[in-house]
Amino acid sequence: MEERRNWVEMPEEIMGGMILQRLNAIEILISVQKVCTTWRKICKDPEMWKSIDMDHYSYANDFEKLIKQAVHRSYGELIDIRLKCCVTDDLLDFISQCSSKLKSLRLMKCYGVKGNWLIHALKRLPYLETLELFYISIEAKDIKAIGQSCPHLKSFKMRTRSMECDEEALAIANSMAALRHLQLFGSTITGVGVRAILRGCPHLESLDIRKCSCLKLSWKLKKSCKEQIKDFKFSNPPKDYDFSDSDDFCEDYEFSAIYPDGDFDYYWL
Amino acid sequence: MSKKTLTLMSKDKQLFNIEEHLAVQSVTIRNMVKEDGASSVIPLPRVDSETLALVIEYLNRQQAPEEDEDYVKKFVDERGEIPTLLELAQAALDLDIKKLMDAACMKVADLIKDFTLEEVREALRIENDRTPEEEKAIRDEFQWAF
Repeated sequence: MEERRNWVEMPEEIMGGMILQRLNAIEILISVQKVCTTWRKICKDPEMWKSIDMDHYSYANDFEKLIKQAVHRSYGELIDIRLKCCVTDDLLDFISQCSSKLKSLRLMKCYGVKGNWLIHALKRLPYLETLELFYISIEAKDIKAIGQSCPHLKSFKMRTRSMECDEEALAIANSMAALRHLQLFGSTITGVGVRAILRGCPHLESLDIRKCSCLKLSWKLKKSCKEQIKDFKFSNPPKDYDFSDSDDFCEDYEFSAIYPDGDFDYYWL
Repeated sequence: MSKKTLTLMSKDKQLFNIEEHLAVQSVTIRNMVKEDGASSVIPLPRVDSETLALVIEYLNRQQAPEEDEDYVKKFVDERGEIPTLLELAQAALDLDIKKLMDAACMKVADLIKDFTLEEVREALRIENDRTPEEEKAIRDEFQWAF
């Protein structure tokens, strides 16, 4: 029988670029990098750390230390980071200090994050194009400051528990003129906010305002939205929210994972 | 009408025939055909015959384009052994068949992500060659992040 091959000799472009890069940052730091010297070398390459997805690992021991380690290894090349839950002021500060090239930031259910921390961090991220804030308690004034800090912001997604009606929408309209994509799924926006957004964000290519409980669009406003925005998503708020019919919603896979029974309302209302 | 056939030779000198219009899904072969007509045998010095047979099976598939994604996934799923998948990935790299390489690599990543350190070493026949100095360096890195 042919002698079995030792796979450490595998070309680095396959092992590093195609296989190990697909593993989660935590898996790499806790385990994969310890396999052998060659793999450790691969795992230290900044190329491996351009994108860090911690969506599913918020409760790992030493979470913050591990993220700092991952961000540090990117040597300023970090482009995309997704974090969930235990994000502190210190961590946001660290990430923003080390990652001036960051283009995409997602914070999911980071309940502890305060608006002023976030703005402090975002001021250091002038190239940010995509910002997703799911269940972060921030106010309309923070949104305005975000818009002013990130002039290149092209995509903004937000879900909050706020009851401020249109103030958030007005803040977006007044500060994010370059936006191409906006999602305010399940917000408290009304027709006033929608009109302001149409005026303030003239380049919008997609707008998602489904399941907004206060929103009733007049035919005229709906027509304006459809004329101005290529991809316009709107649904009348049903009395009993049924998520089974909203297939697009599942593209945000984290929700289908977190709320497998469609038990979404409970978390955000 | 007879279709033009190419001959590929594996590392262990076995010959495989494949119709040219199917073989040129490999960018490497396509470029060779363009340059010199590839009339003679095309040697693949890093691909063994078992793997080349698999690659040929993949290139010979008769899938409608819209079913192709599912097919390539199923194709690698059915060959779930890590060494086979890695051979396949390397062959796909040499032959520049991107879809096959992506699918094989993704499958390997899926398989090893739940492995322990020892299981990874066992599956890939990798020896732990880390020195005590390196062990210390790893521990120190975690201290650093405080």
